[in-house]
Amino acid sequence: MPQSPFTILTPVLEEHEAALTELLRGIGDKVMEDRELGLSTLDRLHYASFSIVRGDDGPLLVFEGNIDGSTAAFLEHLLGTSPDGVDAVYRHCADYPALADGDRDATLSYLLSSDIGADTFFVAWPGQSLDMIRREELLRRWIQDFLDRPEQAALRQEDPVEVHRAVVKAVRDDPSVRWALEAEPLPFHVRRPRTVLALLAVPALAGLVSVVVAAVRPGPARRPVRLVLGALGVAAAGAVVRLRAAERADDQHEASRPTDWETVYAAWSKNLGQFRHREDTKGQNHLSSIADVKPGLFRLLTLRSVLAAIRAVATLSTVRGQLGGITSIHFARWVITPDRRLIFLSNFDGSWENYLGDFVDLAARGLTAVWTNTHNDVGFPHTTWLIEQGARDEARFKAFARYGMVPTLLWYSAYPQLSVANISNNRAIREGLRLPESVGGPEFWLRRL
Amino acid sequence: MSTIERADIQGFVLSGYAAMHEARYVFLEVADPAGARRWLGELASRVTTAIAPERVRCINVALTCRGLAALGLGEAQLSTFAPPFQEGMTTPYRRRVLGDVGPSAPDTWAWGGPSASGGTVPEDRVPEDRVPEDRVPEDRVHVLLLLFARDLDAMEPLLEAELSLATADGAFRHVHTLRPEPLPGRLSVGKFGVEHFGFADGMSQPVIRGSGQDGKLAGEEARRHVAATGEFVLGYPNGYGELTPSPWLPGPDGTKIDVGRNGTYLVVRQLKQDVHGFRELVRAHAGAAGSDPDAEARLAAKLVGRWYSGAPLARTPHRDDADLATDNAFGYAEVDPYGERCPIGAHIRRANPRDSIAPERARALELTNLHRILRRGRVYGPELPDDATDDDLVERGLIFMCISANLERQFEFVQQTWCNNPKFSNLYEEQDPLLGTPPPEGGLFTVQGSPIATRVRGLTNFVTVRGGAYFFLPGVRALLTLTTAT
Repeated sequence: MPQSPFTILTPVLEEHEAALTELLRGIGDKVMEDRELGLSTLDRLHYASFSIVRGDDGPLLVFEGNIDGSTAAFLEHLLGTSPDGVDAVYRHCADYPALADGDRDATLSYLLSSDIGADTFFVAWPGQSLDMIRREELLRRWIQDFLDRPEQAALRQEDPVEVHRAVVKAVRDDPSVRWALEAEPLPFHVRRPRTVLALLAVPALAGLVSVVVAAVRPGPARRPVRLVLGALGVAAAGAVVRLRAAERADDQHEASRPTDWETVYAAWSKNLGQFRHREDTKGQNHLSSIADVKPGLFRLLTLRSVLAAIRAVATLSTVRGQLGGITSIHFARWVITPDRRLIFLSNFDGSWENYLGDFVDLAARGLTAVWTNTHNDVGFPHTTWLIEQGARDEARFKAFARYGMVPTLLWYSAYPQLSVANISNNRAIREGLRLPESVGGPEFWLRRL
Repeated sequence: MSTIERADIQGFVLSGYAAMHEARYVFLEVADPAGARRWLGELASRVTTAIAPERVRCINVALTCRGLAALGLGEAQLSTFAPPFQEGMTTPYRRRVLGDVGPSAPDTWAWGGPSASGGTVPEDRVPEDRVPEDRVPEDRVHVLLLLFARDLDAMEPLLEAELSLATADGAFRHVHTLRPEPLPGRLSVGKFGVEHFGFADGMSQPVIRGSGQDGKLAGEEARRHVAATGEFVLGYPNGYGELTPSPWLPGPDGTKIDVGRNGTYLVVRQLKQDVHGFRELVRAHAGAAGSDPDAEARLAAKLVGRWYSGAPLARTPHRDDADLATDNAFGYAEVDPYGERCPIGAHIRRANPRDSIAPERARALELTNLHRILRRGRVYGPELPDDATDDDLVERGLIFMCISANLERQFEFVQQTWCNNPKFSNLYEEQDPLLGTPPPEGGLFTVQGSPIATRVRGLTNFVTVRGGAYFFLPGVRALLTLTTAT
């Protein structure tokens, strides 16, 4: 089942911000027990968060969801299970047609029409539903417990092939885990990324070859093709010149700022407590941040192109479970709001320091290409050629990122005890049960346990 | 930039003073700010610098953020110091980062714990019951005077003289002294000190670029151990080739007076070790494994990642080999990717995962070296005899000290992302077997092996934090500046 993102952005009523903040924090403090919104009872919800960001016309409520299936189906279900909770939250938002008023379709279309989705959406393991993730974790525990039983001690002297055989037999004999022996494949593009790439490459290459041939071989098409290619070349060169001019303008802006970034950040850093309130209380964390897109159409177009490119890479990646080498992201998204702000929401393993360190160490170029088009009072570090330097300035990049953070008022994770690596390992254990060769044979399969 | 300004750097940064067998770590509380500043200004001329090794005695000095405030620095002047240093070790957030929970919670620390009056804890309040009477709370830990001497005969007059100078005219109150065991103590292969669990310790330290030591290493060895100067001393390029933000004071006409240059941050933690508990666990599990006489030593080595002699499991997986005790030229990626020699979660593999944290080995070493610390610990308390059958209930452990220019990226990162992280390197639910705080039902440790891993359960709290604080170890010029700043 495919995963989808929703980012529901609704204006908060004047003077309701404090009450809404308090309500959401309250639910967030006991999110697993809460039955009003009942997030922990929803069997298609991987991660959700609520935060309040600045908009041009006042505060906006951001409701982030990472779900199995479609947004419409999910929201419809949510309105059915938690009408009071949804009303309690959204009665603080402008023009909200409450469920209590009886017109459920109006409520649903209010939420759906406020969903701005995601410009780039990353899922560590596309196709892996919440239900699969939970079952495969139970299976892993079941197999480990089986192997640890004193009566299985003799298995430690056995050949890996025999151990594997013994586990398969035990799984088959137990109705609670027998399902694991049946195939439950991930989507084709996740299982066979190279095939998909090859299939896409064939028409792309064919098109490229025919364009080159048309431009070289004498004929009626030669002149127009050359003209088009020439125009594209000029446009590309123009874009590069424009980019460098924008970067020089940024440098000038930086040189003329009245207060340097370190002073701005030092003064602001007293606010860190509001982010850390819930940071590192479990093995995963949520990061919610916002930055203004730099003025002008050029920056907006550049940002959209970069996000589209990252989306393509994330969709067609041959190595799953990572984005730009970062292996700790479960779900992440960038979305540009109607009032030109870039929101970044991500659900990741480990600490903020580790996460941001990975940004700098592993994915500095890609992230520079995104955030260099935005700014805040700390300011994005000096960048050249869209991808160079930028996030490599570790101290300033971290300060920029911290400064851009928005307190997550309510955050829900359906499996806080599982890392991205755990989920993929569980998946491999389950696949290897049926087809040990898929993970390198019984010996390698056992190493995963 | 290539040379280090040794005359301005306190000696403790570049040396653990192994020739100084006696050490006293004296905590002082500012009583009279003007007098305290005067004393610190005078002390600056006696402070041992990194310029040449001393033969008889060494003096170094470090300050907490509360200490700087007590000297009269205002909030704005303190705001450019590193956030962990400003906040201190005991906030709810830093407890989570450092794993100071349960028995290691700061509320019961002998020193450095939250004050009954609350101090300036920026987040939600911490419980104030269970506070021991005689403890030294963090708001009284202002200055740390590090005294070292060749022997007891040299230490006694030094301690007496320095204490009387510090407390003269009521400048300071002397609030606490830590007294590590004299060196050399027990040695492994005649060189490395042995910590209380019985393992040789301190073999693997990063080498500071530009310190002179780095010239002796080349190729793979240099890549493995040499770290940028700025990782340990402020004012020099760090592992990213950048300058780590350095604290400064506002000068006249909007100028900045850099007080970070040639200084660094010093972490001090008193770590109590439950030697009896550690031996019990090893005994119980080794006994259960059968009649193998070496089983105890083997399991102990699996938990630590080195044999008692210091020989790394990655080099000698089946038996201790004293010839390899000083061997530090090893990695994991090639010889032990699955942890079948040195378990993935073993203490030394967590504390320094070397080349195993990225697919490409050379890059992995680079990344690991962004998270190194210089350790300066000394053992305290008497040994528990090898043949002891019961716990003698005497406190013993390690006065852990380490130096890093970026507390968050170095010390705290190692503690949080490597040592205490249940998800370290694809693991599921176990922490560092020595440093972690196991759940009440006992902790887990996985010993990878063929054909199947062995899960050791029932780990108890082998290390308990008894005190701790973040200090700033200024350069000599900066020390003078700080004592004259208003």
